[in-house]
Amino acid sequence: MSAFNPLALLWLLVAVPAILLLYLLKRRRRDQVVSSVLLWQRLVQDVQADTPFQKLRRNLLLLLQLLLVLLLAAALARPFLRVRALGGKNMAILIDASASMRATDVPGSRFEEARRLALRMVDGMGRGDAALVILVAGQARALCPLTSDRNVLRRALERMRPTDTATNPREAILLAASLLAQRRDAQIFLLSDGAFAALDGAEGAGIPLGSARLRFVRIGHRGDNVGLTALDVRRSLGGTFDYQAFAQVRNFSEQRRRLTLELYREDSLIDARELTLSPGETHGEVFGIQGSASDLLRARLDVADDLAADNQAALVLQPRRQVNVLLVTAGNLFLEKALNVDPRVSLAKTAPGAAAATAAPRYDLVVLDGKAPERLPPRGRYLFIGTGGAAAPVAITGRTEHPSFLDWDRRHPVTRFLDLSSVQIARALVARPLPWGQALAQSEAGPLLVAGEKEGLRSLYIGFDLTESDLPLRVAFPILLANAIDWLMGSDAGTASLQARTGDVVPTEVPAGVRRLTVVHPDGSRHALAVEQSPLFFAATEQAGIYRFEGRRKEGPFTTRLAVNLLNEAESDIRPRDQVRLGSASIAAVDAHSQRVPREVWRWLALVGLGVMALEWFAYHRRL
Amino acid sequence: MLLEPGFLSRLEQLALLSRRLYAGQQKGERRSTRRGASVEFADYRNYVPGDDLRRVDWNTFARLERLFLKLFVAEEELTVHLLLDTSRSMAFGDPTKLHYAQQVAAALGYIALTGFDRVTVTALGGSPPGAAGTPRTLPALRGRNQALRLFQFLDDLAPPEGLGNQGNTAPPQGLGGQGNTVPSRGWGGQDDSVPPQSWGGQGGPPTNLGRALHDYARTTRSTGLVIFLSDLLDAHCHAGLRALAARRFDVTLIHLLDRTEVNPQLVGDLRLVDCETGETREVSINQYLLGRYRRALAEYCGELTALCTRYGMNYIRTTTDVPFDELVLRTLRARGVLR
Repeated sequence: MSAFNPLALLWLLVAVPAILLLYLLKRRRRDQVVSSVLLWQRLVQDVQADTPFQKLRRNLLLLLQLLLVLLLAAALARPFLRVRALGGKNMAILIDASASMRATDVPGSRFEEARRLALRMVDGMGRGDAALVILVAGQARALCPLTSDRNVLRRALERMRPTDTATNPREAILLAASLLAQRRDAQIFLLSDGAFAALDGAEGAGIPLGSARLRFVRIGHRGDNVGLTALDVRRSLGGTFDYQAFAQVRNFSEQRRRLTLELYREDSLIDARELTLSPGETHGEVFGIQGSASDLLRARLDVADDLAADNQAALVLQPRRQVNVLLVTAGNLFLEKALNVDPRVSLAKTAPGAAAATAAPRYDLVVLDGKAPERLPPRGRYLFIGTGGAAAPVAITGRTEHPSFLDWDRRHPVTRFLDLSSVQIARALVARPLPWGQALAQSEAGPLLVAGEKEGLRSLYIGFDLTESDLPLRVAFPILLANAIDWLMGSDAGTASLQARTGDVVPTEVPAGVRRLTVVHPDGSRHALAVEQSPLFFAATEQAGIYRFEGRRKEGPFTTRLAVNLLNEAESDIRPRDQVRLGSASIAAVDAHSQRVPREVWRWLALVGLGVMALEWFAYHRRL
Repeated sequence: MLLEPGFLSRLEQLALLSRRLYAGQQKGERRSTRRGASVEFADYRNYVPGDDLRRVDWNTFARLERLFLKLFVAEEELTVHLLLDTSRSMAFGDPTKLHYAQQVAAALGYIALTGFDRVTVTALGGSPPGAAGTPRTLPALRGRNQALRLFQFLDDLAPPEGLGNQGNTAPPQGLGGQGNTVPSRGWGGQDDSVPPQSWGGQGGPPTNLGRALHDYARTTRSTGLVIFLSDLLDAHCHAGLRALAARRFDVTLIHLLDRTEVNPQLVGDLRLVDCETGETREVSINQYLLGRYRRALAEYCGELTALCTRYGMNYIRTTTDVPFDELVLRTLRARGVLR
């Protein structure tokens, strides 16, 4: 037991002598001569039973007063007890609900352990302490506001459920820091195993913590895990198998592990491989499979480890689909060849003119090279090359000579994997993107690549004639075209498989005429969804597994499946970290059980002091 | 001067009432228990040789030829005993209770003298010089011309000297402060080491009213009317009152209290000193305690009333702020002491 303000005990040096002095100086009782004490004697007799007690009673007042002064001085000194707990005046309790927290290396799971710890923190809160709870998953979610009501906090903690998503600590810390802004003595407790992508570099440095202190409470004690880190499938272009599946397994544990990698199509085992992985080893396996569209392909690791969520992954095979392309051109060999290379494309060609506009609705994609018709159907998919038009995402404003690519969006599906840096262009159009257009590549004079998307319309604009540049001669050209077809066709383009990561927002194509969908989650729960548009953006992908969408249309029932997988190396690596990095700073883990927080006890002292004061008053007035 | 001359003339129309018949020593104006000469027939008795022949009822003799004597009620004097408590506690109040008692005693004594009664005055608790503790007594007076002696005697009465005696007959104003100014006499509050019960040589003993009354009842030859004026602040007075009743005195008890005794104006932490015994009581006086005091007083007076009712005494309680002439002319008449 120690005190925040021990100097207050000096008050004793003043107050105790003062009381003693007052007692010494206290006037003796005034003598009052009365005619007789007979009557007084009568009424005093029962009260004044014995004199020794009477004397004690007189001293009792002094003792009580000294005790009172002692208590008050002690209260002013603000003594505290060190209580075994985590806590503070204003706390944000960040609970990692990511997949790695489902590891069972601690009783229950890491998530349950974190919940227990948080409940203990809430129980240990002093009067006036406030806390809030934030669930850290793919997105940060505040489960309750900053409150001193322990019941609210307890309910919030008991309600929360773990997810299979990756961890997004940055968003949660930002949220906590903003909710705790302006609060004194604010602390952010991150209850986590630290299994997430490091927050170093620019991403971590940009987190303004304000006055809050971030503390990392480590949960979990070992990292015995083997997990699937990749599963993908592609169509075989030849050979005996329809598809080739690729699965990647990594051993995150400290020992050599022997395990079996099994591959199922629907519910039947089609292949199994015995693997032996040394610590830290990553191993890829390729399977050839026969299958048809809409089959569910499932990889499974037969292994006993701490985390089960990454021992399975699945995907839904997608049918190959033809894309009917109408090329409207006066003649462009490069373009024609490049389109023909793509196995999905079946190409038709027409000269520019009114016929092209009438033919357009019958094709999946219309490529307009150099000249576009006056009128085009407002819905459809268009690729404008060196021209603008009714459905183009730009307004043409002029022409320019010798522009060059200055910068391009390396993450957009159309422009990723492209190297446009040394493309030479003789002449280009100057264009201004429309509000629904997004510039993907810039030149000195303006955008050269613009993608746009609005109700039923997707169009891509390339701001120069291909024959007036050396782009067709570069590696980037077929990639750009393939990317463009992929993006313009969306999921219709015929990727080989359908799968998503936990926490992703998945666009799901819904056939026309379906108004309501029932979603069956991997755990069997069902939710109804109203369909307002297609694709439907489905965001409730917190659990890994197979989601089934069931609906009804005129032709009959309709079912589609979505495989959601963890496939995240950072989450599968469940070794508890000793520290988390936040920008350049690293925050060492604290052990939840060795922490002690001061708990002030002056209220109790003051309360006892009040009692002593009441006793003193009582003793004074009952005295005779 | 205890009484105004105008007031004396009003007193002459009053007379003391006695509820009993007593045998007197001389002829007077009261019916006596004895048979004697008066106009009021009382009884017959047989003639025995030696009786006065003048008192034989000759009419009866003529009828019955037997001698009977006719007896008449004797008219004799009544002895009025005026008992005054002159203990130190009587020196309290403004006017002092003693002064009040002196005035009442003078009035009643004057009434008795004008009514041809014998009047004796005894100061209980008073002490004549040199004879500590013995009562001072005025020998029996008779006749209006003795009134001056009565007044003189009453005027000279004073409580015994000693502890907390506040200036003799002077009204003790501001009692609290004066105790310490009395040098070397009694307790004075200067020497706390003397326990209150061990008597020093100088101060008189406290009035033991009970003993004094008891002695008086035993030694007095002629019974009669007793008018006892006291504050009765003595734990033993009950026994004395019973002794008076036992000798068949017609007792009228006038209980005098000062207004400050009925409603004490005391407050704070005090050490109360008994002016007679020097006993002390430490009290912290508050409203609650004052309420209890009043209850204790009422209880005490209730005990006295019960005692007096039981022994056929006339109990009259008054405070000194009731004008004494009102007490005499109204209250005493209403209570059947005077007519």
